[in-house]
Amino acid sequence: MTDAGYVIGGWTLTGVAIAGYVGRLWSRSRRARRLLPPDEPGGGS
Amino acid sequence: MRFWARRGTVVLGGLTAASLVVLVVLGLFVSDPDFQQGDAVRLMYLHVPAAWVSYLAYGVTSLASALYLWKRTRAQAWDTLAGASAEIGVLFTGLTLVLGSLWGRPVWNVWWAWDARIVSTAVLFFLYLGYLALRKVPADPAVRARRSAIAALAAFVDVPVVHFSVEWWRTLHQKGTVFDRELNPAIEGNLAWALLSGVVAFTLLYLYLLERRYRLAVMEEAIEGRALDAAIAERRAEADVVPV
Repeated sequence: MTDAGYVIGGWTLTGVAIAGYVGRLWSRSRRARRLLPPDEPGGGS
Repeated sequence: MRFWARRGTVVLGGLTAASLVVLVVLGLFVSDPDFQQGDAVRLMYLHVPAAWVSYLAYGVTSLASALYLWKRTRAQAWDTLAGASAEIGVLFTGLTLVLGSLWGRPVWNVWWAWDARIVSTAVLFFLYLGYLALRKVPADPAVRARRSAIAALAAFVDVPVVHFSVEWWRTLHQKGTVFDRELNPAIEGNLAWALLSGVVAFTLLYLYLLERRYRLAVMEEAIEGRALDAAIAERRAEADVVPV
């Protein structure tokens, strides 16, 4: 593999890992908001 | 108050996204290849900031854990913050190891070496993975928070070991170079800017993720508390209808 291959692999992997984690946080937050009534912190929105 | 908190998150998210775009542009398109490493140097712009964020995240976890253990400042919020920061720390330590491996292959010709810096970083990763597992063990919230705080402080002992490993032992991994006055490294120009942009972008990303993860943990704790209250109420109602 060339240097460019390692670079592209590393940057892609980092992007996928961060995007995956952000996506997981968003989906879990959305589910939690649905389960909480509006008077709870972050709930009902 | 909630409006300003949300606005703050949006601003932080926007700044983080913008800084990540700057990092991509500087790191992949503007920065020159290194005269020895060639294009492989572009992995430094991710590897070094990821390692920095690991230290930062575990530092915050330890500080929050200490504040939880100290009776004067004890609050559930410190435990929640410690857990949120550790999870992000594990993500970035994992990235540090993988990116280091990908950088090591073209530069050192190895994927892995039994080197003090690399091994101590792997130990750090598994220590905080264990810490996260410990937080999942069912227990009274106060007991769980106390033992998690002690575990977090014990695990933090490895952070200075990781940092100074390149000074204490002869390692394949290079010593700290950017701030080494004796070495007076010639990292300058667009390479230095790309590295600096990586540190800024990853620090902002850490703050954004921490805010999101902390808020999620607060909501999940509230859900857990409500589920427990409902279960207790249900049990009491059952006990009331059972003929004595």
